[in-house]
Amino acid sequence: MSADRPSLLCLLALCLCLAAQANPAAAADAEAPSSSADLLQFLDGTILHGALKSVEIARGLRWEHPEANAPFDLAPAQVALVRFPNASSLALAPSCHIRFAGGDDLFGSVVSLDGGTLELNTWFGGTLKIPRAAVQTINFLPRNYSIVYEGPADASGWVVTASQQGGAIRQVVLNGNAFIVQNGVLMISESADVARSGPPGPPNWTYQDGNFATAGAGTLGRNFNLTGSSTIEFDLSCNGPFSLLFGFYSPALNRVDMNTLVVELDSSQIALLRAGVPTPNEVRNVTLTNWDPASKPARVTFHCNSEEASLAALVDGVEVKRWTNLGGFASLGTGFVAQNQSAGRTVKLSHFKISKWEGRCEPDIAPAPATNADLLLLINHDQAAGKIERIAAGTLDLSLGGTLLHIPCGRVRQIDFAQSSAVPEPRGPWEVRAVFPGGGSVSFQLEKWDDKTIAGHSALFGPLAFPPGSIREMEFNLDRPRTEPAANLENQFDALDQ
Amino acid sequence: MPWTNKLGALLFLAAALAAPAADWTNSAPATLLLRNGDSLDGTLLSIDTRQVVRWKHADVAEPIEFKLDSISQLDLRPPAAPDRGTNHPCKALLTQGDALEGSLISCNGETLLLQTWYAGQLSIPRGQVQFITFFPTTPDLFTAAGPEGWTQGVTSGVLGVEAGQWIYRDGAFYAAKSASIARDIKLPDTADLQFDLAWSGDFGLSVALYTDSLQPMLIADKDKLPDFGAFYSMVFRSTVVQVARIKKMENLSYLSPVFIPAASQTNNVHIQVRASKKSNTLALAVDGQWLQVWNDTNGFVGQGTGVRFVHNGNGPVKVSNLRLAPWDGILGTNQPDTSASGHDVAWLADSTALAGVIDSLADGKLTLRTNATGRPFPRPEPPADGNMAAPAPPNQVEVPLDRVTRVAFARQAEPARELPGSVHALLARGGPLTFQLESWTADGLSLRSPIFGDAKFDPNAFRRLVFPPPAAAAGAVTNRPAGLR
Repeated sequence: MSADRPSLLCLLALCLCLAAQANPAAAADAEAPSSSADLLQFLDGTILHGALKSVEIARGLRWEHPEANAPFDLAPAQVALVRFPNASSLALAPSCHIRFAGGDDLFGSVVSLDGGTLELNTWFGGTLKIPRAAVQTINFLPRNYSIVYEGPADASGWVVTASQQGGAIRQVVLNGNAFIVQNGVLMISESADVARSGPPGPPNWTYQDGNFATAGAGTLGRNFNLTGSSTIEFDLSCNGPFSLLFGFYSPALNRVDMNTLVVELDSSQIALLRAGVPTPNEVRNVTLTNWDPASKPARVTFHCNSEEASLAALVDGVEVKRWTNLGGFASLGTGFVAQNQSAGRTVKLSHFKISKWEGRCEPDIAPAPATNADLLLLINHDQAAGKIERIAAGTLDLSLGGTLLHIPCGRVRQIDFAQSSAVPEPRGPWEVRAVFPGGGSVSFQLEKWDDKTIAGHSALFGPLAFPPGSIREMEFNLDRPRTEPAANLENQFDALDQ
Repeated sequence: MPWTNKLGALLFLAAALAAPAADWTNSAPATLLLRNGDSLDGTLLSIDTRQVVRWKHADVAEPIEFKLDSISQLDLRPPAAPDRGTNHPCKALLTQGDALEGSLISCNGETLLLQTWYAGQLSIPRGQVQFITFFPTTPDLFTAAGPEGWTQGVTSGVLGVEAGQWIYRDGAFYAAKSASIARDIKLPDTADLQFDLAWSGDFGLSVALYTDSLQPMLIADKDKLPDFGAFYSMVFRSTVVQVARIKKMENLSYLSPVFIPAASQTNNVHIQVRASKKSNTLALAVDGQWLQVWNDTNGFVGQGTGVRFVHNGNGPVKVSNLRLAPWDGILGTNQPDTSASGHDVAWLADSTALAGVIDSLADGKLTLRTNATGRPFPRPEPPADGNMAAPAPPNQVEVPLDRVTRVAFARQAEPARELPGSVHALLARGGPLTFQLESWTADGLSLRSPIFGDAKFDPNAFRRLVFPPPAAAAGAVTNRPAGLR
C-alpha cells in the first residue's frame, strides 16, 4: 500500500454506514438478500442458481444451491462471475466517469489533477489519490446526471402485454414492412418470420436470470418517469433475425403508441417511425452493418436529448444514427415500451440502465485512440490537444503550443489522456473485479468474503472493503475468454439415435 | 424447386481441407442438467434409493448431493462400447420403440434371449419384438471404423447456409449443417455398399459413387473445374432418390427417380447400393427391399474408386455402419411380396426374402415355415362358418443364421405400456430404452423394464438419461421425449 494513499477500508465502512442510515431499505436488503437469488456463471456460459455464502482463499466459494442437500466449496478455476440481483442500489449524483487503463472505471467527482496524481471523490465517500498515468479518460457528465434504474433483478414494475389484434384494424406499410395499426396504435408487423418455427422460447416477455426474453409477439413496458433528457441502454441478443419496436416517453405501457417516439430496430436496419413531429409515419432509416447480436449481446443505447430535440442511437458505443428536429418531449408520456414483432426467435433484453440528465451534452462518449497528447473535448464540440497541467478549483489548465489556457471545467466534456498505462495487478485465481450498482468497477485481489465484509487489495486503489450487498457482480478469471452456453452438438442428433 | 436444381444445389465446390472428422468420444465430462436451467459438469457417482444424486465436480472437493426431483437430464460420456463380436450380433427393435443390441442366443415362439455386454442375458417376450437386425460378421472389403482416413471438405455455405462438419461418434457420422466427407475406399468393379441412414425432418444427402475427387463440387460449375473423373451422384431427399451422371464437358443426365415408401413412415433405413461396371447397372435396396435397378444405357460412368457424402445443410443426418461387403455380382432381386401383414419375413444375405412363420432362431439356424410355392404361408383364420379349413401343407425351411440379415415379426401383441415415472435413456451406441430407475452405483444401474423386467445394467451402457418431472415420477405416465422417439 502506498503511504500517501488513504486506506479505503475506513472510508468505505464509514460511507456504507452513512448510506445505510440514509437508506434503511437498502441496508435491510444488503443484510438479508434472497436466499437463492444469486447467479454463478461458469466460463462456458453454464449457470448455477443459489447463494454465495462466503469465500475463503483456502477453500473456495461456499455456494448454497437450492436443490443441493448442503452448501459446497467451489474452486474459482472455471468461474466467470457471480451476480447479485439484490445488490443495494445507491443514489448517485456523480459529475464524472473515469476510465482506467487496467479496465476499471468509477463514477465520482474530480477534486484535482496535477502531473502525477488525480484526486477523486468517489461514491465511496472518500477522496482517492490515483496515479495520473493510470487514468485513461475523464468524461464529465451532464448536469444533474442520475441513474434512475438498473436491472432487471425481477419482473416487478414491468408490464407485460400479449399482442392482440381485433376490431377495426388497418395495414400500413412503413419502411418496407407491413404493420397492423389499430385505433392509431401500432400493433404488430406482418413478417415472414411470424410463422417460422424456431427454437422454443417463452411466448411473451418472461423474466429469468436478469433477462427479459420472448419468442413471441408481445409488449414489455415500464414507467421510468422519463422527463427532459434521458438515456436508455440495454443489452440485446437474439438467436436469429428479429424485429423490435421501442417507444420512448410513451404514455402507455401495454402498447406502442404512435403518438410518441417510436424506433424500429431489426436485424439489418434502424428506423424512426414516429417522432411526434407533423409528418406522421415518416421513416428515416439507416442500414446497420456488422450487427450480429446472435454472437454476443449488443449494447444498444438511445440518447433522448430534449434540449437538442434529437435522438441518437448507438450500437456497442458507436453512433449509428442521430435524428434531429424532433420537437420537444414534454407533451409525450413518461414510459418505455419494447415490442417484439415476430415469433420463432428468442429475443433477450438485459442490463437496462436508465439515466436522466440536463443540458445539451449526452453522457459518456467513446474514448478517442490514445496519442502522445491529452485530448480535450469541449461542450461546443471543439477539440484541443496539448498537455493538461492541472485541474484545480474548477479550472483546467491546458498547455497548448507554449500557451497556457485556463478552461472552466464546466465547458469540458471529456478528457482523453495521452498514452496511459495500467498499474500491474498480480494475476491469480483470486483476482476479481467488482461491478457496483449504478456503474463502475474495481479489480482487486480478493482476500476475504463473509457475511459482514468483502475485503481485498487493489494495486491501484490500495486496501478495499465493501459490505455484502454493495456489489452487483463479481467477475473472476478476468483474462480468460467467456463463451455463451455452447449448443449441445449431441442433442440435435438425439432423434437419429435409435 | 425442380429436381435438377436440387441436385445441383447439393453438390458443392469448396477449398480443400484435409481434416479428419471430429471425434466426440470422451471429449468432455458428463453434464448434469437441473430443472431450473442450471447445469454442472462432472461425474455421476450414484443415485440411491433415497432419490439422492451424488455428483462429483472437478472444482469441488466433496461430492455434491442433489435431490433427484430437481434433475431433468444426465448427459454422460461413456467409453467406446466393446466390439460386437461374431456370435450373431444383432439389434432388436421392440414394439414400444426400445432398441437393444446384443448377441442372439435364441428366439422361439415365446422368447428372444439376448446376451449383452451391459446387462448379461436379457429375456424378451417375442410378442414385443418388431425386428431383429443382424450385424455382419464376415470380413468386409471396407468398414468405416473411425474418422481417420476421411477427408472433410468445407462447403463454404454455397447454399447460403452455414457450413459445418461431419462429426464421428460411436461408429456413425453426423452432420447438421452443410458438410462433405470423402474417402477412396477402393470400390471394386462389382460393389455392394451398405449403410444405415437416419434423419430428422426434411433432409438432403448426396452420395458420390466411383468418384476420384475427395472434395465436393458445385455441379453447375463442373465444366469450369480442374479435371475430375466422372462419377454417379445418388441424391437422397426425404422420400425420393435420384441418380445423376456427373461428367465434365458432358450434359447432365439423370436416371429415373425412385420413391422410398419406408421413408414416409420412419426416419431410419438401411441402404444397400450395388454396382456392376460390367453390366452397367446400379441397384438400390432400402430395408432389404430392392426398389430400383438402373441400367445406364450410356455405359457405366464412374471412373474413380471413392465415395463422398455431402449433406446439403437441411436437417440432421446420421450415416452409420458403412461397409463395403463382398458380393458375387449377381443381383438377387426376386422376392416374395412382403408388404402384406400377418406373417414373418426374413431377409438373407443374397437379398432374397422369405415370408411365413418363423419358428425359431437358434443353434445357428433360422427355421421358417412357408408354403409350397414360396409364397407367404398365411396364418390360419377361422372361416365364416366357424369350421377350420385345413391349411396348405407347410414347408419348413432352415437357413444358416449367418446368412440372415434381418427378420421382421408379425405383430402379436400390443406394445408394452410405459411404467410410471419411467426414465427415458439413450444407450451408448444409440437406441432408446425406457425403464423405472431403482438405483445407480459404480457397480451398476438397477432398473425395471415393462418388457424384460428387473435388470442390472453397466453404467457405461448409457449416454443420456432424461428424468420425468416429479408429477410423472409420482405415478403419471409421460410421453417419450421428442428427442428420444
